[in-house]
Amino acid sequence: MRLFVEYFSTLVHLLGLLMLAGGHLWLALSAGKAERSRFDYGQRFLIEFLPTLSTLFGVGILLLFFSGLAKLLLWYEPGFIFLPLPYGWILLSKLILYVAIVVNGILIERWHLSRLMKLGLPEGSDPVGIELTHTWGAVQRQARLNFVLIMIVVALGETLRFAKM
Amino acid sequence: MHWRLPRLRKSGAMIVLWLTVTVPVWAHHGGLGIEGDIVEWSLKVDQWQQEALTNGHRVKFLAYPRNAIAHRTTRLVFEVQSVATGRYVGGLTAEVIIRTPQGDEHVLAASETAGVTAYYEVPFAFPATGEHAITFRAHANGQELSAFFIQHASANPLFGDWTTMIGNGAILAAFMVTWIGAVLALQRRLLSVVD
Repeated sequence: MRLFVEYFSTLVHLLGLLMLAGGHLWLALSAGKAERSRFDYGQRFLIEFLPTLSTLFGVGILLLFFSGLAKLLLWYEPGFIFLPLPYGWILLSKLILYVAIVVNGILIERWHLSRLMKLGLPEGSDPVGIELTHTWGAVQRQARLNFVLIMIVVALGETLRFAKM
Repeated sequence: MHWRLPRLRKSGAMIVLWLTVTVPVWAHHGGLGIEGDIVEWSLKVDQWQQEALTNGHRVKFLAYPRNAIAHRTTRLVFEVQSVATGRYVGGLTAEVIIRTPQGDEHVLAASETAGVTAYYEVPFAFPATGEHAITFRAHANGQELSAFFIQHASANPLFGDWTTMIGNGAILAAFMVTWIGAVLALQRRLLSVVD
């Protein structure tokens, strides 16, 4: 049973990572490509696709949190995160960054995504308005920040493999 | 304007070269907190919590779980090593004396763990909260080895020492933001469906 929980939570953690980190990587690359393009089709597609992407990120976050928690409960000791060992400090840094990522995600969804949905995409060949472009720029900035934070968390996660408990 | 570009490139290259040469000196003077490679640093750590030197022997101690909870069994593990030769000393008849904060004493025999040389272990449920004095006593080559350790026992797993508090706080914070984020995301989706 213990082995199954360990294996299953690792699998779910990787799946969550694929959705969150992979999704952010795809968004960053696609946004960069759309920015360089002479046409605004890419930009339009990404803005239209953002709510679906946001749901994907949300599901990824939930998978990461619950699989991580399952592992901590599996190897439980009071305080959960094995402080004051180096393992515990790395895990604490990971958790602090995780909180920052989720808070940033909440801000993106509450402020910018709602704004984008309210503004809506212009019909047909009408150019994308200044306000929409401005909000889309803000989404990209904050999403890139989240991407950087996620990559740091991934690096810390890899470091945990080498930290003795 | 064009004549400035090569000069700018040249000064840029000079700055990069200067940084490459001087950065190790800056790193050496601190700011990072961790010296050397983080992976190497992590590997150096072992799990022993306390150690004492007695009559040419090093006695190491750990409690498992590390943060002991009163009235719950905690494994008290000791390891004995000769300082001069570095050899682990097995086959000793050891005893552990535990003095509670109230002054009561418990004397227990610490048997050597089967298959692990020089590991002596005793399970114990701390009867009270607070700092307990633990004395490991044994005889090796006609000399008495007596090592003294302190182990804190908490009332419950939620409010132990600072490490327990920080750990629980971090997990609680992560849970709270996840919960708030999920609720807000659901609210936005459900409200947009209603609208």
